[in-house]
Amino acid sequence: MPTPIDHTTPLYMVIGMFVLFILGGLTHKLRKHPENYGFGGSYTGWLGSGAAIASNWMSAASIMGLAGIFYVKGYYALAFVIGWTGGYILLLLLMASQIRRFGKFTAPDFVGFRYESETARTIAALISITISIIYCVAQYRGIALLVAWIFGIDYRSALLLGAAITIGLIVIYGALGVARNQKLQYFVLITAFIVPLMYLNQQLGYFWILPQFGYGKAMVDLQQHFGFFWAEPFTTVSIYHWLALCFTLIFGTCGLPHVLSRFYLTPRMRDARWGVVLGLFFISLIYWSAPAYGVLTRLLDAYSGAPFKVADPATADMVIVYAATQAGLPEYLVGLLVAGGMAAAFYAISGLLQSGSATFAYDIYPRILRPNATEQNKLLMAKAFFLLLSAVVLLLSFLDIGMIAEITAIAFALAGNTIFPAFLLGIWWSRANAAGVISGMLAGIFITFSSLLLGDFIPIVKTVFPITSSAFLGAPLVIIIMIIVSRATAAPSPATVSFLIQDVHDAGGSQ
Amino acid sequence: MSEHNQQNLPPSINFFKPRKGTMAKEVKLILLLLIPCILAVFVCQFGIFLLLKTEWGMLLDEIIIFNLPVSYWVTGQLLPLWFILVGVAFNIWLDRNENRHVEAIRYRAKGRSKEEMS
Repeated sequence: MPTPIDHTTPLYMVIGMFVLFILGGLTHKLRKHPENYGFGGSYTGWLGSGAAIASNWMSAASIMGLAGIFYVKGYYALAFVIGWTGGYILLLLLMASQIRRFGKFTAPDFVGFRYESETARTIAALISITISIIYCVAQYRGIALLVAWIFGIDYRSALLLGAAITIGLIVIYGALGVARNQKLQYFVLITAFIVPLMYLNQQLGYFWILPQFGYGKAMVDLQQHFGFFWAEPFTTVSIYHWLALCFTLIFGTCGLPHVLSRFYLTPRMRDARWGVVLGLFFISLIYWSAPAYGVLTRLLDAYSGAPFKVADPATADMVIVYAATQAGLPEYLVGLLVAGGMAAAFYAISGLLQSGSATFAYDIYPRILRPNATEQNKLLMAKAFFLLLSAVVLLLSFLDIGMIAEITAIAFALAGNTIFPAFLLGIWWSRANAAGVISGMLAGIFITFSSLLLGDFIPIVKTVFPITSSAFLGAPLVIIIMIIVSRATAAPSPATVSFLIQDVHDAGGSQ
Repeated sequence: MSEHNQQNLPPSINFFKPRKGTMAKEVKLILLLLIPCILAVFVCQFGIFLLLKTEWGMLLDEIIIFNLPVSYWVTGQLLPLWFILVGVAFNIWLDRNENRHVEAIRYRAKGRSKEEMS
């Protein structure tokens, strides 16, 4: 059990971190460009672009979820590390530059423009909103666990309180016109994550200067002194499931609307490209460190006499905090971790809810529900949908769906089965058309949820398309469907083909 | 595809049949970098999996690199580092080409609209 500590200091740390970010946002130059809100970063070259990508990416899944899943499932969690880093390299190689040249601001915009179909655009918008909802559920879980710990209340009460705080803060942010200072945010969050880990390594007598390497000795100690081999490769899941999760996350990263948005606004292409690589390094710093919390908590468990206890998924997402309290870290360091987790989850929710409501207000409402809507109507609808979306996320959060990383993986699976194939073929195959992408996205939605819909009747569906890992086979299947349907139906307009040849791929000269 | 055949077909974009010139070069580079990345993931995991089935599997615990068992180090640390290096190589290639072909549209921030095209 965690050592009881006074939770007042962590509470002050949380408040302090949010005040710092609000002040940082108020003084930030992007405040002058509110149209970039939600996507914007500090465009001071590679560093700004990289920090913006990394801070956009960091959520409760990175800060809390990965350590938690590592604590429970050992080596399996490394599929998240490879999936979440490998996805960026696929994005860089295949899509980043090309997406930028399309000059569209959202995934539905891209789909509607490339495939010249309002139906495809609407489906893409609904998928984007669903992805936002699933992703937010994972973030709310993180916030609720932290709020429950700070105030010593039960999970459900903490969920309500956490949601109220989150919505309240977003309203305050909106009222003050605060733009995110993403460089400041990234460097504060990475410090909040790594400094306690260094201290933790030092407390336990391991190499602390680079705790990403130091914790390895703890794994050896767990095996040699306690006979504890939970972290052996492929003991908790099969190699198929490992690879399925890994590639689902890789494909999903390339299809997540808020990840893709990063490439629309960076003014210089070179900064965008190098920003991806630097952002990947910044993200890797988190992923090289997160497993350490899982291992060290296992070691602390072992020292406390419970080395083989079955990890409780309900509390495993809190291992970063438990590790810190069990090792007797100073309250301010525990507070730093809690504040980092809260801030990461909050900014992820804030961005996702805002982009989700904007997608509804600008991609669905004026085109389907009210064609004559004015800008004022759209703004009002964005606010109303924001509240509706918040309520839906809150209701879903009451369901005990799974651990933070697992819930997040479902969002990646949906993105990998739908948006990723639409972008990939949209960029690299000019024959892909509206009928193809509509069939593909609908098939992708079905594949993502097939284990829930059919798993009880056809058990193999659960094995082939696990709910968290369906895009490994799902994305290639969707691509095949898109190719077959596109081939069987009319080709895209000459204007689209010409645009792809001359403006996206610069192949016009070779004709 | 030969130059003659390409000229006879209606213009199109296909990753597996890149148009000659800059696109063909870029596709070649993408394949050159992407295939090793995918293979690295598959080969490492299948290697670890198969090794565990043999008596050599003990080596995975015994070989320690940077304090970590080799399977952990390769999967958890080396592969992400490999991805970063691949990204650096790709960007360096694009930067070099950017300097050589400053007029090329692929290095512009964004393309024209379809309306501007027509």
